[in-house]
Amino acid sequence: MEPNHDTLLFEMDIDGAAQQRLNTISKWTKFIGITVLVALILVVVAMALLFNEFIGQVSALLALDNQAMGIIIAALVVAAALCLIWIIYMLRASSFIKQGLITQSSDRIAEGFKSFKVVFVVSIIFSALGILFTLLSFLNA
Amino acid sequence: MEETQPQDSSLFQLNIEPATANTLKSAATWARVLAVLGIAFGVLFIGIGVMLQQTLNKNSDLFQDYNYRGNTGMLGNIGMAFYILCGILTIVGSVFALNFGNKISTALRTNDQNTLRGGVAGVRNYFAFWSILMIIGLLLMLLGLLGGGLGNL
Repeated sequence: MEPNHDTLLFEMDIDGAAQQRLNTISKWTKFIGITVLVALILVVVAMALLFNEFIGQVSALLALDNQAMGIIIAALVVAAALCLIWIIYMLRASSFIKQGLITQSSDRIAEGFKSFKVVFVVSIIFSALGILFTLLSFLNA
Repeated sequence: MEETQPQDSSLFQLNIEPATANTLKSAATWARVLAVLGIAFGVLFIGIGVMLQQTLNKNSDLFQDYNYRGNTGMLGNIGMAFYILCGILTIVGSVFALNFGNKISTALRTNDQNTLRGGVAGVRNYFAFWSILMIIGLLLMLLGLLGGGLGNL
């Protein structure tokens, strides 16, 4: 016989120790989110200011035509957008967990973990792309 | 600032409802996928580092004819050390994520409070680990900028 999980779940609490840990998670994720946001803004501003120079150097270094450069720029824009989604959900998770602890609302904490799910999924996309590009560049070398 | 902290008196009031449990379970599953990919990435990094070092050592004779300043073997060793360090850091971070995924899933299955606490500790360690690495990275960047600034003086 399978145990009835739904009834058992109501018997579980997020106890004091777990709440303290959740509070720490909220602080660290806020720090990560803000730091990566500042880094992303700096990179975007630097690239916008040095756009022509950057394009010229990359196309000269890799001997790329306009179409290939367009693809690279599109890939960079997609990466920046993904990064922005990652940051937004990281900050959302931090905020929801904090609110959940203050108001003692398990729904808010659940929203926080929902946001973590998005953070994990975007991180998985970055990891998979990282593995793919590392393998490709290693095989081409 | 004080009132924004969770109050000890209101502890133990947070129950895990079925919807919350499902969300936790789903986040744990994705964390496990991320952990497995991270471990694969770390192992790949270590492998590439070792192979690069061996390739550079093997081909170091090719560079003897050039007026090449520096030691190719040493360059290979430094490169390998860097790759291995990156690989180990990625694996350590992923182990925390795996810990979170496994413990939360087990806690929800067995209704075990201690394991749930362990799972939350796992996700805390995961984010704390990357935050500390980020702080170290920022400090190194600052040192580099200061070094560059002093060098230009």
